[in-house]
Amino acid sequence: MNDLSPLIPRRDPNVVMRLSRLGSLHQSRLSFMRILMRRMASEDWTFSRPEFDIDEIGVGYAVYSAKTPNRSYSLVAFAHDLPPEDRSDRVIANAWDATFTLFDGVPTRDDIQRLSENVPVQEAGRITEKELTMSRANRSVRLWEHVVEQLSNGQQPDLEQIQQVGYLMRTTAVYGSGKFGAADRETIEDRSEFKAPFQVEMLTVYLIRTFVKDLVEHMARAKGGNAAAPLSSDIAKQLGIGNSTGLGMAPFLINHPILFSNWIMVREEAISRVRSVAQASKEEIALFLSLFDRCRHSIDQWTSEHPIQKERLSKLKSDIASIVTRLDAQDFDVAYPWDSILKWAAETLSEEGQEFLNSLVLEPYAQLVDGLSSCMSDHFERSFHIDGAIPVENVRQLITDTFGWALSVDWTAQPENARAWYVSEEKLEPRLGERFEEPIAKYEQPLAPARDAAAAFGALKPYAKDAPISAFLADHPHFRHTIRRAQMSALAPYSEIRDNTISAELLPIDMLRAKLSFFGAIHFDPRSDRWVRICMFSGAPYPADLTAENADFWIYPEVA
Amino acid sequence: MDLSMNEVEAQARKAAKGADYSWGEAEDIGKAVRWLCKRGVNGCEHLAQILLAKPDPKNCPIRLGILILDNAKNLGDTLTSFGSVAEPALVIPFAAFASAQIERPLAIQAGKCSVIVSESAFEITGEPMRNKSVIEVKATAKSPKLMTSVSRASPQRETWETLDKFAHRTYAPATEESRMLGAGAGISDND
Repeated sequence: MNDLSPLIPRRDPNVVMRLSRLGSLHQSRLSFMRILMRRMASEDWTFSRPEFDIDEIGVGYAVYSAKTPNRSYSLVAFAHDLPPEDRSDRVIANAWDATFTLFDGVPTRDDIQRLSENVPVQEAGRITEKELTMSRANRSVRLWEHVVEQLSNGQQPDLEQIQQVGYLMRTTAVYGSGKFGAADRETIEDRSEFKAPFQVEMLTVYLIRTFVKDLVEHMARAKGGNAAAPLSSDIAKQLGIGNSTGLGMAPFLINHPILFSNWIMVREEAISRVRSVAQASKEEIALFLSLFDRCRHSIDQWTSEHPIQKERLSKLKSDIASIVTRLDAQDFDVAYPWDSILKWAAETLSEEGQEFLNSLVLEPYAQLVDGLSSCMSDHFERSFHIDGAIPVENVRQLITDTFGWALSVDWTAQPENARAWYVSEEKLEPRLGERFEEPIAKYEQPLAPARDAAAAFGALKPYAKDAPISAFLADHPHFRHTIRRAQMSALAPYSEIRDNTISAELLPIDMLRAKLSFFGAIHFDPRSDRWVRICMFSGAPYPADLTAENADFWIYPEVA
Repeated sequence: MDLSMNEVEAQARKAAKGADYSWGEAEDIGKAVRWLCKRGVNGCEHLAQILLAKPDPKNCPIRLGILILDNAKNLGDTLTSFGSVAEPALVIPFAAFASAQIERPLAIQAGKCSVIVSESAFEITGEPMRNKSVIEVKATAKSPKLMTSVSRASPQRETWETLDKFAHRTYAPATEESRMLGAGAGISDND
């Protein structure tokens, strides 16, 4: 048995919380998709398709049901005939190829009718406490047409094209947590299946994937009649659901400091536990090596046209070659073998390569790692409220600990202060603007914690060390959010990004990737510095095929 | 209207910021309105009234609420408002947050109305709470009866629209430039 109190401490937040590293994170067995898949298999959830009423031009609705030991959930899917000129992944779109909601239970006729009037218009509609999520998806036009064409002729689609795109539809938003009238998270967070973060959203996407496969086969049959073939199960398995994510996701990490800290801390704790394993068993080593081989295949399939990601990918690919050499030479009988590999990685590899390995070494250690998934939510409502009795000196120390690096930055210099986050009136979406070129500064959102902390640090100087922070807050209410964050950081060491979130150099895609890696996304493909496409559930067994055996390592494609 | 608590909190936070409270104060106000709504009180209406009335700081229930919260650990002593307080119901959630910190209920005296507040409940005795009361707050040994919480809020549409008007002041008017650059459109998204 391995000792549960790790010898090797968690990594320093000053190392982990840099944006370039957060922007290099990889999925792991703690990713929300993988937590969901393991649970569905271990609890033996059952799945069915009670309704599929879609016509030959692809318009109609369908219901997919997932039954847990105690409850059922239903994906209600609406399929639309979308003119090509209306298809856009941007949040400013107002029509989609398909729209969805996850219903809590089994919907009645009246529910379906009500949903059919609201879900297809998304943000312009309203859902209720009976609904847990609302989302929409667009076709990958190229792949969709190719697959329908091939299947309708009784042929399978071209594997190369399948692998190049990776999905038939991509979601452009999955709204949960009370958005547009949906049930609040607090009303469902006590259900064991939703204890880990984003489980309702992941379940929604998983069921959407099955719907998309059914729909493409339906369209092929409508076109080819009896000549049409179903998708081969091998090809279907490779297809995931794409996702197009823009800036809306970036502020989330700053606006949920405790939650974000919990995600990072849990992963760091898992890494430190595995590094502290004194002796690796033959089975553990064999599993690690076989998954590493499977990863190499997946990384080969990962392409991007974006110059930044292209460079990162080329480094990752050369890192993989270094890892191969290193593993060939590695003596796994040494004490603390994983620690020795990860130490080497930290000195040798790019951040992409390091974080890839940090995630991969967790794989053989379900018993050390998986239980941590229950610590990834934020249940500490109390920590939100400021403790006004804390002395000024302590708050200054907290700011120094987290933002020491920011105190010497010249925040009046244009490059350090070049951007401002704001919310547009048009679609109420977060945007990032140029402070010195656009009239946006007066609408700035509080998304520059480092700058604000440095300013508060200066403003605290005249106060007596032992004065309560309430005295400062009474004089400086505009620093209230900063003092709150500083106090939270005492409980949440990984709560703050330790980089400038308004600098001219900022790459918002780093923030998007950090979040998406925890979802379990792979094949990050930035389309600009501020939106990214990814793939979800590629390789996952479909509901009918899900077993305890394939629920865990599906994300690593089998090597033929 | 049928609203989730997250919608209520987000709207209250934005409206408060739009009415020139600081971001940090607005965060507390969002939590406070949510707390009231969860206990079946029309927190949105109380907030809308106070944002419209723009009371002097000495009559503002939010300023008083924040003062109570920030001085929670000194509430063995009585804290008295500097003036008569408008929409005094808004003080209750701040007292609840303070009560959570000191793990003791607080007693609010607002004219002839007495309120006992704990982290998750409140109980009113005497006369109903009246606008423009002078308020006294102190720790107490008594506890309010348990309250069941509700999961939805149903403010009047006009109330919500008032909050919306204030919230809108935090949004930047859309320009073509921001549409293209601010959200980062680049490579085609229809392929």
